[in-house]
Amino acid sequence: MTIESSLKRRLFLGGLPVVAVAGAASVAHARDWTSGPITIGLVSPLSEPGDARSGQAIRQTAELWIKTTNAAGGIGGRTVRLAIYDDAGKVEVGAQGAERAITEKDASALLGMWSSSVTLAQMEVAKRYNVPLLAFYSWSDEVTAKNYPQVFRIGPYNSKIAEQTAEFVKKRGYKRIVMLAEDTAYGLGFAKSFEMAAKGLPGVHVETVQFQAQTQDLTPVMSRISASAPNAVIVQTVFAATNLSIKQGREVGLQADIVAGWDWPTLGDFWPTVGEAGVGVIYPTFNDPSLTRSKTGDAFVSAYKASYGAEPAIFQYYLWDNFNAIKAAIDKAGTADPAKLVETLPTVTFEGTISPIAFKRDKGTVNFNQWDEFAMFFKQMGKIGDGDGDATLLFGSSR
Amino acid sequence: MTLLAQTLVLGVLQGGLYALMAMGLSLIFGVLRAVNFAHGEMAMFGAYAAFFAVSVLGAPLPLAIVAAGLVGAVTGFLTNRFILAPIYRRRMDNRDEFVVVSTFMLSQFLIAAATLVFGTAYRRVPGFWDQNLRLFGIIFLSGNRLVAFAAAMLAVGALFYVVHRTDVGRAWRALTQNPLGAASVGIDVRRYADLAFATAGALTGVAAALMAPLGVVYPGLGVTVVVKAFVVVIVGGLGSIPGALVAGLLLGVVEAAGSVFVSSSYTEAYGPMLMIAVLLCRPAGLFGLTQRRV
Repeated sequence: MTIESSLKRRLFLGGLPVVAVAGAASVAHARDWTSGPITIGLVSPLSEPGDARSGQAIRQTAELWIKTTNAAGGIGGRTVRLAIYDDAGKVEVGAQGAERAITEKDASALLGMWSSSVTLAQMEVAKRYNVPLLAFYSWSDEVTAKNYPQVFRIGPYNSKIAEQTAEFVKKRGYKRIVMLAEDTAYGLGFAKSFEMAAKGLPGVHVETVQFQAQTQDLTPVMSRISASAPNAVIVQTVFAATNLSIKQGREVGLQADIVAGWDWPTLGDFWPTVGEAGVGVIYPTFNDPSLTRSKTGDAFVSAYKASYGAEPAIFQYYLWDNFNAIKAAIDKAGTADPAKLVETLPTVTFEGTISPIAFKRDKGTVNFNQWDEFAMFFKQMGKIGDGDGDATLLFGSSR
Repeated sequence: MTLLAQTLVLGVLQGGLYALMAMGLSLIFGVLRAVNFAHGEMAMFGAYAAFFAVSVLGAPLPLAIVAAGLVGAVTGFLTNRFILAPIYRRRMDNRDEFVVVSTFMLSQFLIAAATLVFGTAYRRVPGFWDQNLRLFGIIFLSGNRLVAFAAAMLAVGALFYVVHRTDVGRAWRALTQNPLGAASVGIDVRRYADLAFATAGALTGVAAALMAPLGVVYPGLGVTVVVKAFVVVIVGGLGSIPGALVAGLLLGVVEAAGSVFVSSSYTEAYGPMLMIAVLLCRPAGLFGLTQRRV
């Protein structure tokens, strides 16, 4: 082989990736977004070390929505399908999943995000490709406070929850509070928001105790907390420490009220793993019998019960609303083109599972592309086996 | 003072379980010089075995612990027979690297398989003494913690007896000192390697079943376990069983004291920090011997 032919060969081989990228780009541009199946990317924690327990519930909700929607004729007669990716609770895996959903499956929107840390990374991908991303239970304020036009949230966020938690603290008369927060954007973000909100409460002292999210033996840290004799311990975590903090806290003699950071005590594995230690646990929820459901909400709950034999948790309501937001946007825009959906989503209004939904657009605040008409309640488990319907309502805020 | 006493007791009790969890890893390393990254999944399967034995079959707790040991033993045996033995038979140059990669991939596969088969819910195994105690008026702990520690010490004692007082133990020690020499005097390396893996799996399964009433059982359980076990084995000295016992207790106390008196933000970092500190002073670990590979 001559030097010349070798150079030609190298040039040819070196040019191949360029041609491939250019080809892929032209294919992407050539995509007809007005016909054919519509793909929605679902990127969720489906395996450990992610919160696979919640990921499973997310997947079930998404699959049910797809089944129900396609049975009713799809969106504008077009079939809808999911492109499912597991983020494993890892930032880099979640970002990669979002990118693959967009580039490999032509996803029109990204849904199913869970952990705030992962969502924040996926937002950068959504922004880069100008694809809408809808969050629902990623509580970090930053999700919407960054004011990315591509990012929307139908669901609660830390600073508003913290404000309402502070109201609850005032009503209960707690003076010494320990905030046990996992070292994630969600845990530490909430702790910071709550510290701010509690500054307005005279005589209330808040201590934030940070711990590593994957810790399984919490007895030492709970011993330390117990020794400081707080009135209440608020636990902000999503992993095994949810149930372990309660069980191990009582084991080491913690007398304080334990307030779960979210409504995990309503999950099926709460009583089997916590047992007697779960009696008296307080938890916030966005669901209460006094909260009226819309027709859409009733239809969702009926379909969910028929498919899975259990009531959906409130976060699944919000996810259902996320899917309906995409449907409303595609109906209105007449296309599944992600760029058009980014433009259309802020203008849609539709019937949510609980109330009508529209996005706020307050620039420079957390209320940008944010629906925040959620009501918040605090309930207490009275006896072993209590479900959400049996728990005693301690406090409720209006929307 | 009260908090110090509570911390030390919790640390020692947890450390005993770490020690038992690491015994198997230490034994395998001693006999085969193999680093088994799927060690944590033996624990995970053991814990699930105990859970299903109690909740599905209605077995009494002692039987559930035996079931955990058996499942752990079978997992260990199969790991050696079908994953590692083929690597050893080929007498390849980079044997250790292949062992690390294959056991790591096995670990990932087993976690994924467990997620699919067992689901993602947290499970709990009831304990022998499900009561929260107050000792001397100042120390609060679960009765299960005392039972688990006592059982762990019994298991460690039994292993120590086997290693130092039986023919199987003599064969293992011979393999630890000089595998080639041991084989040349008629020790069946394959058989004793199988036995070492099965024993390691059994010990790990039992340890997981003892720990299960104190925590929760789920597919990712083994990930934390294997990290603790590695720290214990390295701090104690690779292949040293007394070293694993001392290092386990030390790790338990350091983690508990660090979480209480320094910061709970670094609970999972105290182990690696302890490991680095020990290795700086004693590169072979507390009880390890610098050896020449034969």
